[in-house]
Amino acid sequence: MNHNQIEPVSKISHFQLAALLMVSAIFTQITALPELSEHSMSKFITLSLSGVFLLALYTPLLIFTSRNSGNTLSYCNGSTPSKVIRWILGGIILLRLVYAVVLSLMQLKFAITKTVMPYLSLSFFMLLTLVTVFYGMSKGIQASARVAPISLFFLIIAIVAISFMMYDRIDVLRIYSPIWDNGMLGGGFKLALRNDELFLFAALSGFVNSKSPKTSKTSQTSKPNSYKAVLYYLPIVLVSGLWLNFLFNAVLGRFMPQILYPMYTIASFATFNVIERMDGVLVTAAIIAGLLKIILIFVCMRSIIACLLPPAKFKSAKTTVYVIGLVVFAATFFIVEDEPLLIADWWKYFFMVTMAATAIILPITGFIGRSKRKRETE
Amino acid sequence: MKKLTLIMTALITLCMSGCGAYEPYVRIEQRIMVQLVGIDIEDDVYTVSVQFSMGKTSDAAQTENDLKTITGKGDNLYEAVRDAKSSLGKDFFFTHTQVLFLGETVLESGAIKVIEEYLDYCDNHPAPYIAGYRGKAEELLSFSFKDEYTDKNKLLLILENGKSTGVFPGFCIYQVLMSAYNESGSCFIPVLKSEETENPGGDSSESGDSSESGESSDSSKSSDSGDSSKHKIIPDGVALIIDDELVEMLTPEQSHGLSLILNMTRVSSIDFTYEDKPTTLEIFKKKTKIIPEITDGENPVFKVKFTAVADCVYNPILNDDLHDETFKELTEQAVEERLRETLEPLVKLGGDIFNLEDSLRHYDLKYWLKLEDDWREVLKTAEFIYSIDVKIQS
Repeated sequence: MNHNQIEPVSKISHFQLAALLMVSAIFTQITALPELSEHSMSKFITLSLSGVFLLALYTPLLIFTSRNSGNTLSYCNGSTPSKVIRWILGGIILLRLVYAVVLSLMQLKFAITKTVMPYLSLSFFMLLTLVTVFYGMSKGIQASARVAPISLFFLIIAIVAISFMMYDRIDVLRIYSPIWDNGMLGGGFKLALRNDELFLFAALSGFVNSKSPKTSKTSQTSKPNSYKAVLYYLPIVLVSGLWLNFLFNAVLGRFMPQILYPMYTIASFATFNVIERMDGVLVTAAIIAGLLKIILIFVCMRSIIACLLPPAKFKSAKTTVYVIGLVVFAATFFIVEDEPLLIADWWKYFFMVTMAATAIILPITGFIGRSKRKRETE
Repeated sequence: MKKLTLIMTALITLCMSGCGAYEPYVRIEQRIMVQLVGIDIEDDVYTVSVQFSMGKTSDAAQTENDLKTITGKGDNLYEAVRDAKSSLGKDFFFTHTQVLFLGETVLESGAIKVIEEYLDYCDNHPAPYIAGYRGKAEELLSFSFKDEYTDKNKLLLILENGKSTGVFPGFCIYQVLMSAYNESGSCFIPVLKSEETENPGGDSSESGDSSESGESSDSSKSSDSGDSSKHKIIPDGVALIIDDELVEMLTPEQSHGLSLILNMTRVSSIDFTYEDKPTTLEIFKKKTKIIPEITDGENPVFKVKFTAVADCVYNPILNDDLHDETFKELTEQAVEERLRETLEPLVKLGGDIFNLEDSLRHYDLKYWLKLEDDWREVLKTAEFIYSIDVKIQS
């Protein structure tokens, strides 16, 4: 049984995959948990270093994907060295995706309820989010992929427009050299470990169409191009992260640690013609991006679970994800606001293990399994 | 299945109508859009005055009866606001507040603490303007102007006028806090005061209370005790606050040059005497940069670079002399004098309104790290060199 039999006709282009990854990353950047806001120049260096580390972490996965018909999860074909390894790796990726969905839900919930809608009914908000996410997941990857470029467009327009409107409040005197700060190397590495998009890529690379976009023919020798999505995603997200950090520091300066969401505060200062405050525009774009990210994570979870289950039980993957989703939503509903659950120090071990498993062990076992399968067929 | 999902989604969305079901659930008509807020503290009792509109959508349509000022008292800001709300039976919505006024007692001690409390409780959005008042903020919100009522537009206009004439900077809350959180711990808050004017007709109408009559639970007052005089509200300089304590109340004359330095207004003016004739120049396209010049001694030396274009607005005889070198030199000297009179006394008091700390950190971080621990004392000994270039146009 082939992994592709899970979603026989759902194929997306590498542009769409890149858009999905970018929407996910930019949503995190504009709704980062308040504890991560800091007035510090070292964030420029840590962001840049995290880009370098991420490139290194993605490289084994990209090499394996490009040599394996563009599919990271091809070990679902049964070609892993052992079934146990398949289950362990699949389980680790699944765990990380559960963490990602809980974090995204918290970011969405807190960002909405602490900013533009403090009187929002939490139960209705969570219920509507649940229904929307489940409906989006049921439509498959293509539906999300079609919305992603639109969502990305609105996010970028919102950020660019707000940046233009703040031109008179930007004071570069608030920017200074970070050269005397400590811990930037470690900070960059920690930031790279928190990257969720690597796991999304690992689960979704098999959905990317290998057909060359410039020709209408599907050739059996056409090259897989899912790796190109990462080559688009990484630099753009790095540039947006650096720009947002510059904007936060240059506009808010030492005021930044005193407020909850820097991007929201800046958006509420921004005025344009008849729009007195741009924060509503920003929050709308953030809600769409947040919902899309959560839908995407559930699609990935379904893909991983289907990969782990025997072929006869592929359809149970959907049911399993619905159950996981209900549990996650219920758990997130009860998480107390302001509780910095997900940034406690011991989480770094979780990040390290899951990242090592996906970025390093998965491609290595994939190569081993592939060469084993080659030997068997020869 | 699709239809069922769609129907369920539509039903759930319909149930979400309204602003929410949080306890206590407050409908939109039960909310008051606050326009002005005034805070006083006396004997540890907070008095919060809140001015709001009763419902007319356009400012042009508002009359005196549409505006209401209400006060509440309590041991802290939360209780004072709750007291004000309870007398009205409605909830306050602070996100459209235009100005926050601090009474004289608050300026003297605890201004930053009160501002932070206001942000924490009332609205975490720091965009409203902030100003002090020489007296009780409660009185300010209840004054009548000579012929008309007091409202946010008039007070905003007064603040804008003060800003454009360079009497004080027009700061919003986050700019004040950003300054206060620096190493110098200093910030400047513009101050207003009232002066009595004679009402020529002896008209005794509306002695200063813009609230509706007949609400016995309304504790908003400010009556003029029956006499027929009115008040006018004028800018009255700047309060320099260091570590949450009032250090100096600067007069308009002392702070008059701020518009030249702070680049907050498009146009400023400068006066001097040329050949025994009073001359006024309008200065625009101005740019002031203060950058560290010498950073290897114990005291930093800053260079003040000022460039602008000037136009003569008063001196009809002057047209032929406008391009005279002597005239240009006199103009530049007048500008330098105004800058020196404004900048140096404020810095000697320990006030860093001009981002000297940010400038030093940006241009020479190594030197700043040497001075960081003693910055407050070093700031007072800072010296300035002036480089002025004003282009005169006819």
